[in-house]
Amino acid sequence: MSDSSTQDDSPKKTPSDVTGDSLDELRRLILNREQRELESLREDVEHLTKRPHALTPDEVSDVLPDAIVRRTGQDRQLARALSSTVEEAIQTSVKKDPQPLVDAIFPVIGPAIRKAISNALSSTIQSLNTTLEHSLSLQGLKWRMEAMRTGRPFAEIVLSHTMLYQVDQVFLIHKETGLLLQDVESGNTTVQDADMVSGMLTAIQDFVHDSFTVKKGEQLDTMQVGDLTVWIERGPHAIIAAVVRGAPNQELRVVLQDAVETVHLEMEVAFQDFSGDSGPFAAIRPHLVSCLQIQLAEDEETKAKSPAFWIILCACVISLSIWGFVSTRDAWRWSAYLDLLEDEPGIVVTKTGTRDGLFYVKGLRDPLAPDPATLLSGTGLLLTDVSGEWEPYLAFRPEFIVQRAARLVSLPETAKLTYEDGTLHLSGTAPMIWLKDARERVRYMQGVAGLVEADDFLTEEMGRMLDMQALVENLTIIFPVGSSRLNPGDYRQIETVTNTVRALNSAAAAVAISTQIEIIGHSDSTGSAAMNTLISTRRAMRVRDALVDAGFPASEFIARGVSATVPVDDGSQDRIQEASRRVSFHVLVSDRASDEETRQ
Amino acid sequence: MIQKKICMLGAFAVGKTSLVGRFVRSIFSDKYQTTVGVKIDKKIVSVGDEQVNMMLWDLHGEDEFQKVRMSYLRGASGYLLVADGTRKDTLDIALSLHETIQESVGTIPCILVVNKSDLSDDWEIEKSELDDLATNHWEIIYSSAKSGEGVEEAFQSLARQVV
Repeated sequence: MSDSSTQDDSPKKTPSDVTGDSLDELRRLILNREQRELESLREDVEHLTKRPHALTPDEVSDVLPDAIVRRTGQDRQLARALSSTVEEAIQTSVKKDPQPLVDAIFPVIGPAIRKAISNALSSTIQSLNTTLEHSLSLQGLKWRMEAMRTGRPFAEIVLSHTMLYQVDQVFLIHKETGLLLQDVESGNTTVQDADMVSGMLTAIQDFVHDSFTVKKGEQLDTMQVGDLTVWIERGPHAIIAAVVRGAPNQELRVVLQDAVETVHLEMEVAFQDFSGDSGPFAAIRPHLVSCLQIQLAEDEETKAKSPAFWIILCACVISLSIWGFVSTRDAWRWSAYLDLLEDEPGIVVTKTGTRDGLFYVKGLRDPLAPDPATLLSGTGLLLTDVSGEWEPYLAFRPEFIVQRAARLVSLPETAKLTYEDGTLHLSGTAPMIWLKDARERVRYMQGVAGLVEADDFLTEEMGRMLDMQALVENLTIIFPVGSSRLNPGDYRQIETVTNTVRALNSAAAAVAISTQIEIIGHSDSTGSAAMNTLISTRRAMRVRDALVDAGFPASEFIARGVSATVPVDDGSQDRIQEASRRVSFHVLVSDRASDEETRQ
Repeated sequence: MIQKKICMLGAFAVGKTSLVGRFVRSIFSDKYQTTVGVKIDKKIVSVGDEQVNMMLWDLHGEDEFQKVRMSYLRGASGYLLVADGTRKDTLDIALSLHETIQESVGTIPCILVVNKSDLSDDWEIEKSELDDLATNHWEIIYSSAKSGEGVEEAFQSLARQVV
């Protein structure tokens, strides 16, 4: 409605104007709200026309949360778009004041570090366990030689040989419900009902966690039965359980961790919306398949042998050949040495063998037998190759008895002993006093009945006496033709005879023998026989008188002439005639004891 | 196929394992119940056009010696409370378990299965008591592991609730 004053002040209006105003008024009354909305829309259109892509802050704030949620559910475009901005914002924040960020991540950084350290220690301990398990086995020795040959650490060699495993099955299990989201298995694996297995795995983890005192956040990570190992890697919403046959290495653990992280990154929304439908998780099967790793041991037969291998092999063969040659040669030498020992008089071998790497021989040895060590020189064995143990004994072989007797009686060099029929036989010459002592000594010798003198044995004293006898009998005194007188020069010969006879008497006395010297006068063949007999007799008596004059008793001599009956048959006729005018001597020997008996 | 985690709970020897023994697929020995405290079986049921894979966590029966491990109920979509009609105390235990589960897990679908219906003459649990529970929105199914009565119905009904 409108008042009258308003109508009065207004210009005069035509009916048509009145009609138009009324219509406007009517339109305002009826369509006021729509007109305002239309006006607002017009302004929006004009605004969009001028800046078609611009949104007001209010508009953005209204749609931004929903837009972020929707786009995040569709793809990762928003995350990629925001990543650089977020990184820059974090850097700016840290530069400005790092404390808020430190405070924010503090609750998670501690457990994360502890888990990383725990995993690293587990890896180290597993490597150590594997190394120790193989250290003392035959295989371990082989690997240790390989480590020495290649110069690589022993632990590395062990690990390289134990990296033999196969992942049979991989389960992706919803952490909250224990329901199986996906599972993959290798082609040659017999698979149990996977969804029941996954449930039981979850139950067992809960059982362990509830039954034992464990810290918050600690879970069952590994289960092992015989050759099978179940490794469990967990994320916020799901776990990956890998059933591994053999000895997995830590690289597999990293593969599982990557798979868990990737699955959570890609299936975040699906995890949030999970209500039992595992269909959406089929998309991540390739990640699980990538966990089905197999690590085959290197085929030893097809492995190319390095030159070092052949060198070592040749060295081993050569070493074995040398060893075999040396062993055989030493065995032969040893056998030869034993033969020598057994053939050697005075040595008895009782035991042979080896001891402390040396040849060993034990036995009996006569002190007079040669040193067994000296027998080694002919065999090629060294003194250091042989260990001997010898017990002394007396050998009753003749040569040892003779040697032992010779040592015992100090046998003179001029004498010789032989052993026959239990009796020692003495030959050669020796002093009488020694002979007497020797007889006493050999009485106490084992295996010797006595000492007897052989036919060719002479005491030294006897020998001396015989020598003197020969000297006397070789003496001659030459007389002039037809004379029985001694020339002045002949007295020197008489003196010689005197000295020799004295020596003879002394030697004879030493052996208790009595001597008498026959002085024989000779003549040449000229003249009559009577005259020759007379002159020969006078010659003998002349010499006897000279000897008696020298102090010898007359009874010691017998003088007789034999004329020319004992001619000299040596030399020329003149020499024979001269030599026939001689006086010669002959020693008569008799046992002194028998002489006394005769006298008595 | 949708999977659901279903727990079987009740007092000791009420017939949980017997109840499902003839109707589920099992690969694990019963000894797991006494060692680990749970045995997991599988029962596939149809709800409308959809197949539901019910993973049955058959928990060790609760008695004075052993309590149910509540961690086994984590993530469960529903559970069957089993009582023995011939032993009144098993109903009390079942109701007590129900309260404990509600406190620890929250409210999830649940069916009370009163077993051994074939021995109705020996029942100690009063019909009126069960009627009272029914009026308080309890779904109660009478079953017999011996005859198979009510077993399929119990699983079917719970499957409908959890899907």
